[in-house]
Amino acid sequence: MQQAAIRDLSTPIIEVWGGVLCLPVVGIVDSQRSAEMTEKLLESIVVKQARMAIVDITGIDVMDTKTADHFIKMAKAVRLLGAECFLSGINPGIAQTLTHIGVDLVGLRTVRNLRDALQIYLREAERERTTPASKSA
Amino acid sequence: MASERRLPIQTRADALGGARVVRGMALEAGLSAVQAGRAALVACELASNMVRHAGGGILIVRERTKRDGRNELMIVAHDTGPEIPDLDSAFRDGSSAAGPIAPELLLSRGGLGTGLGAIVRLADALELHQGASGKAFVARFVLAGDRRRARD
Repeated sequence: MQQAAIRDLSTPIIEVWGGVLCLPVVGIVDSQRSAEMTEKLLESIVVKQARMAIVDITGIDVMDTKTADHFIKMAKAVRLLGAECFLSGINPGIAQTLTHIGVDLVGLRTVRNLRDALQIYLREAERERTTPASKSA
Repeated sequence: MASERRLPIQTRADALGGARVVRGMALEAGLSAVQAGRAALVACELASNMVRHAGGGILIVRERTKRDGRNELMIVAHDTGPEIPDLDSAFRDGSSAAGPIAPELLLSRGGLGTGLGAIVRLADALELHQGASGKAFVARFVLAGDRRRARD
């Protein structure tokens, strides 16, 4: 139980690729923890100069409406810092919570899982890399 | 059927650990995964509030059969901390014991100020008893009748 509690308390942010941060969310997300997560993620984006953050909530089956709303705001704050934010692994219950509270989902990018998020990132990075080259040619 | 667990809460780790115990008991009582998740969240918010405002307390989780034959999971959070002076503002989202929270302070204060609101939204029923001996929140989760019959 103690180990599980420690895991629930911590907010690991992993650089899964150059400039890509991943925040895997497991356990229980209450109002206090969601505030801690946001603070840590925004800080890491600045410190690591990340271009993308993937917030994976596969392990979460229940969220309060206000916490869900806060997660959307966190995604928007990430964009303001000049990075992309992908939300991955939203389950049907949380999807209903989000549509029910009527938050503005414009500009929010959601993907099925971590792999999809990384694939999209790599595809876009590749496109960026090749487009200027073809222009100059 | 009646079972009870008493969980002393001193730290935030206790709160999260207690929430896990509550989830397990809720599932054992036959609550759905979503309801069990709600119960765990409520327990977590209640326990965290005790750590924050009262320096700790005790979480009592009780599973019992109501008179109408339905199973119920009851979560009691009891502490000897100060009374909540202004209930209206305490239950309002974006507020804390000291009143509304400025947006720029939202993150650094380590909470959204939506904990009590969440408890009200997630529990099937909620009571608060305050007095000289402290305060007790009582949150209830009722097992749907048809589910119980299906299990029996």
